[in-house]
Amino acid sequence: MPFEIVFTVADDVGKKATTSVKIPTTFLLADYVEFGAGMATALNNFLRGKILSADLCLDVDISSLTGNVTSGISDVEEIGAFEFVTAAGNRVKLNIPGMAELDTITGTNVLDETEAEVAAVITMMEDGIAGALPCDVGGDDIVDTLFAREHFRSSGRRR
Amino acid sequence: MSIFTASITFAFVDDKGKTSSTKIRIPNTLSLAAISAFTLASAQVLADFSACQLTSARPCIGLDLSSATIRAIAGAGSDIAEKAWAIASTAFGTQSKMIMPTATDSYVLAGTDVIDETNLDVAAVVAVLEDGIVTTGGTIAPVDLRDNDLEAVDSFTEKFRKFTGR
Repeated sequence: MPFEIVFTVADDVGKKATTSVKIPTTFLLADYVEFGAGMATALNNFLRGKILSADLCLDVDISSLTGNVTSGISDVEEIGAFEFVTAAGNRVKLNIPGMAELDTITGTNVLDETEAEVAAVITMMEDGIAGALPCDVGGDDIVDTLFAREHFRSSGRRR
Repeated sequence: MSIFTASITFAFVDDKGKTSSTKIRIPNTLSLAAISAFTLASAQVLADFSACQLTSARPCIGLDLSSATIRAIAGAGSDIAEKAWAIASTAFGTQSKMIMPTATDSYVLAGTDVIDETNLDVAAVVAVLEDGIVTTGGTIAPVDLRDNDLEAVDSFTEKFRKFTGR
């Protein structure tokens, strides 16, 4: 699958839309930055809207995941709601759809952090995984967990 | 404008067919290989936690556009419902389209919906689609879904689409 650069454009009443172009996967990130800037300039001169951003998007092959199947009682509206804090004190939410009720402490909506699956999520967010540390929107490192709870929320599915 | 973070969107489906997603951000000072490695490892953690099936893991990395020439505010009268459709073909005959919002009326040939490819601003976009852009690591040229190089823009027209945003 090729990579894709997605450009977001705003018009003069603030409405936004995107346009994208697919590109080969064999270059360095710095090269894609050069391409993105060059194409943004060409689009700026051609279009009347304002280019807000350009994002390089890639699809990672997840076929090697183990145990990645739906259980008979799975529901995306049942959420594992985590909230973390960064070194600068900023809060970061992570809402994971389809949590298992067995991961809560009996009589509460609190996730049991001694459960391996829950602990793995917290470790990943606080300490990173595969050499990368999760962060907030400004790039500030996540350092601690504020809470981990069960939460229910409508998926917003339209009928 | 600076480089911000890589944002990874994980999509899920439950056994009723309902879908949802969640997002994790990491610094994009990492290599693409490292971002991919994090994505795969974190996908496994999420798959272990969730009773749903993970259907995709898609990192998107904000690119630094500080070297681009970009207007400060959108042009008066610009409208995202006014699109420019470029359809380009590969050497194998497959086609790929690029739909660009806020197209400019003045680039359309009188009495038609055809965008004038002799105009310099239009020609520059066509050149990017057909020939790519030279970067430090080589020329990056757009491709179709199957990674085949786009060789020629077959049509470039103006079209209007209903705005469905909220």
